[in-house]
Amino acid sequence: MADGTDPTLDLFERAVANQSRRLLAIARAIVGTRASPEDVVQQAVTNLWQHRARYDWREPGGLLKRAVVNESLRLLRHKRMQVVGDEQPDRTETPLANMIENETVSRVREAIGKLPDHFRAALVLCEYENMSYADIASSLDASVPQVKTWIFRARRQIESMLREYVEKNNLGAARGM
Amino acid sequence: MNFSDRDTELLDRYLDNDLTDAEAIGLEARLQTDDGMSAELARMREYRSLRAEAFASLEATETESQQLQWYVRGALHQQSRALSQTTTPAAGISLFGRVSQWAGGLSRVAAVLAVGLIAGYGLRGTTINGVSPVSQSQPVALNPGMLDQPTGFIPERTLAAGMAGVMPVGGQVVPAGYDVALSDQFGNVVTTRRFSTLQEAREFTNDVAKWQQRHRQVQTNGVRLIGDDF
Repeated sequence: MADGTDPTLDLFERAVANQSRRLLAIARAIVGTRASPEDVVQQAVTNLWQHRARYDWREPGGLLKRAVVNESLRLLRHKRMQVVGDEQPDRTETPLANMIENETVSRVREAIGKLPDHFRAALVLCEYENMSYADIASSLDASVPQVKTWIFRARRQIESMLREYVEKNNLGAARGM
Repeated sequence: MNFSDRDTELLDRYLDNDLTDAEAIGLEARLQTDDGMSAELARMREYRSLRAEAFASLEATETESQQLQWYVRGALHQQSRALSQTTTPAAGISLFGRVSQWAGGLSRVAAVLAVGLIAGYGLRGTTINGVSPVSQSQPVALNPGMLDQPTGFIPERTLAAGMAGVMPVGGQVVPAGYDVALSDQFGNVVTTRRFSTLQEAREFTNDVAKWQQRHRQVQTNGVRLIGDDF
């Protein structure tokens, strides 16, 4: 572990270690197959470390998540990248993953992936990270009403995309819908 | 049944725990009497449950998490090292930073480890003025604790000179140094680094041992580190 002069390095590494699984999930949820989530998190963390003096480190988890969200959106905004495809295939496209993940999960992920980037980011922070609207607004550099609108529309769009599948497969009855 | 956007938003906020106490009490009272509203709430809960399953499926495995931590640690220590070099050279560099610095780049070490070429590493003593060049020294197998008991492995002259910090050459007193070589299992030297003190050499070998230990842990978990490039 770190034994350098900078006392925040060890703290920072521990924060990354504690949060790494969630950070990867956030990146994966936002960038989908358009970038490597590992690269996104690494770049976000490196950027954060470079500018560490600017931030209040009493709650490193929030800073890390925000950095990952921003880096994900930055990538999507600026690069308009190709689908990662063969080089780094989406895990759900491998035969093994298909065996493991059921079709419903794949369908829902596909629907989430079709959302506009900011809708998706807001939804991930709200439902996966359980963040408040105010915190999401702060993370996404948006207003609270804007965030509420994004999340509202994201949910309705997903429902619209999945409605036929849910009804056809009687998922509502199976799940008590 | 169709609901107004306002009602749908109210239910969304209820599920997001964003309602005030008064709003929540009012909604719950309405849910008691409005079957359509409560059915809509149940439907929204189920869609939320579907999304939760999808989000959960995105979670990284422990192995992916460990690999990420490796990458991040390497990147951070490289940055830290670069900063230290521009401010207080050689002072306060972290252990992993030293590995990176001394071994000629973390990516190089990681790449060698990744293909499993490092089965051991050698230690050789030499002076820094070429009296005893690296190529003439005999690499020896080394375990991490070896530098704690170096007498049987390290040429006595070099060890003594290194411990004293100086080495007499031609009547002059010049600084002595220690070279540590990383070798593969065939005895080929991958890289060598020179240290002015035995303590630094010892720290380096300990660092490498830690690297190897971590690498073995990752390998045990089924990860192949290919083309590590910090």
